[in-house]
This record gives sequence, C-alpha cells and structure tokens, in this order.
Amino acid sequence: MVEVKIESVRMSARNQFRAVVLKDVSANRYLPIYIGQAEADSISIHLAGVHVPRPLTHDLIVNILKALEVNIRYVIVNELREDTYYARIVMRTAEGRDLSIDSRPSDAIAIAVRWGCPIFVDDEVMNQHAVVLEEETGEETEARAAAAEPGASEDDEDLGAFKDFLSSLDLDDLDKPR
Amino acid sequence: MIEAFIESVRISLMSTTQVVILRERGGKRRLPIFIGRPEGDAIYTHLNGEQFPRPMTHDLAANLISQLRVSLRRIVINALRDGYFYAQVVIAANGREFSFDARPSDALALAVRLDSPIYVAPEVMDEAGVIPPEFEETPEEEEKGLEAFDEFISSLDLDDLERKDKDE
Repeated sequence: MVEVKIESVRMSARNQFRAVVLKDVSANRYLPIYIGQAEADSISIHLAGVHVPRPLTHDLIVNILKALEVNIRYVIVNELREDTYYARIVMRTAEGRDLSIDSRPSDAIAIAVRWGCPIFVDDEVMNQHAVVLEEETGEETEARAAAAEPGASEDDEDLGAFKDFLSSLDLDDLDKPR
Repeated sequence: MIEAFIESVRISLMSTTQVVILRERGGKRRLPIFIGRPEGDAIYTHLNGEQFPRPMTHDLAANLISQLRVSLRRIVINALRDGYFYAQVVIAANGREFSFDARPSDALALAVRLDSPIYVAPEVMDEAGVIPPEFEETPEEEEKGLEAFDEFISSLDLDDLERKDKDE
C-alpha cells in the first residue's frame, strides 16, 4: 500500500468531470482519478474550510460514525477494473469488529479528509497508473509538495508540467457513465 | 409529529433544482421541499428501482448503517428557518437513540433506502404545507409567499408522476 495525499481537485473546462489528484507521499508520482461534481465539491469545500450552514452528506456520514464510536483506520483505492476505480473504507467498530466497506474513491476520500485518516493506493494500481513528472519540473514540484499540508492552497505557477499533462488527457473515454 | 410519505420528486426543466413533495399521511397537505440535483437523483433513482454498478453516496451511508448493525429509526423534517428546511436523522444503537442534523434531502435519501418512517414537525407543516387546488375546501389563499411554489409546481409536466400518485 502506498500512502498518498490529495494534491488537488481539478475541473475540466470541457465537461462536468472533476479529477482528484493523489500524490505518493514519498515519491514524485501522481494518480488522477475522475470523480463526480458533487463529490468533488464535497472534498473541495471541506479542504477549503468553507462553512456550510447544514451538513453535507459526507459530514452526516462522519457525524454518524463518530457518534457510534467507529474508528476509521484508513481508506484505500484498491483496484482499477474496466476504467472504474474501486475503494474501501477500513474501520473498526466500537465493539472491536473490523469492517471494510465498498465505496467509490470519491466518497472514501471525502470521508477521509473529514476524518483525518490516511489515504492509501494499492501498490499495483499505483505502479501501473501513476504519472511520473518530468525530472526538471518534478524536482521543484516535489519540494513544494513535500512542504505542503494536504489541502493547502496550491501555487499554480509550479504546476505547469502537470497542467500540460492534464490537458493532454483524452477525456472523451470518460464520458460514459461509471 | 405528522407522518408523511414521498408523493413525488419533481424535476424542473428550467433549473438544477428539484422538488420533493411530502404528503401528510391520512391528510391533504403537501410539503414541497426544494433540494439539490444530486440529492434529488439519489431519492428518485432509488424509488424508481434504478441500479448503479457502484454505490452512490447515500447507498454507502445506508450500507454503513446496515453493516454497523444499527438502525435508522426515523427521520424528521423538524424546522424551517430563513427559507431552509432542517431535518434530523435518528439512529438506534444498543438501546440508545442518536439524533443527527441533516439536510432533508439526505435524510429522505436514507429513509427510502432503509425503509424508515418520515415525520414532519407540526409547526413546519402548518407553516409550509400546501393543499393543492383540487383538494382545497376554502377558496382563500394559503400562507403568503407560497404562490411562487404553487405556480412553479403547476407549471411542471407531471404526467409521469401522476401515475405514481395513484399507486400510493
């Protein structure tokens, strides 16, 4: 399992898709995962510290789990199958029972940022699908990323290579519903 | 507490807003609640029996509640303040009841998945409940400020949903 941090949540200018970009905490490689708008908003709103008058769905879930004294140990993006990423939320109940709940990565990540639990990606998924930045820009980006807290505001100037990469992606494939 | 059920979920063709219509059980009053698109879809698709290959957010929440072996006892639309409805989700665990603040849309999306009763606080129904014209006994207009609701709702094409009404 590779621990990752949320590098950013990005929106496509061409369609409603959003991508959450996960960065390996100990290497200069990134895993972009396309997610829905509502889930992307939920992640962004929390990371940006925006106050919402009424709890969002993921706030409600976290409030319920906390009251029931569940301990979320981590979430993991554990599989990519037929263009769809799968995740699990791994927790221990108040009575000591271990549970691993099937989830979309977006929901798992929206819950993880609220809980403050680690986010992992399966080794094989990371090895096969992570994107490694070019070395010359990578050095600068890595130094910055290492210093940044998850969710800290990004300095767009450092992310040129990354933007190039994202804009080179062919998103048409993703238009089919997940 | 007034028990209610979901009479319909209505989609505006002109905006991203949806309206869920709760109906007082054994009564004529309806409570229209405007909700966001994803939450409206979460209610509508489930009621419509649509299946998704992956769990949607409210499916995840319902799965969590089931797997934790606790139960959704009821949901209550319990307040209306500054134009926003508020709800409570009540979960029973180990003989105790826990109440959680929620948006009505989330509470309703959970209620339809976990078959829990839906309640509306009497003061909320008194303030925001409407009686559709065909059921109205007195010609006088209901609460002020609801004309916009009525106009909007009557402008919707409800042919699909009328069928559902008769099934209830």
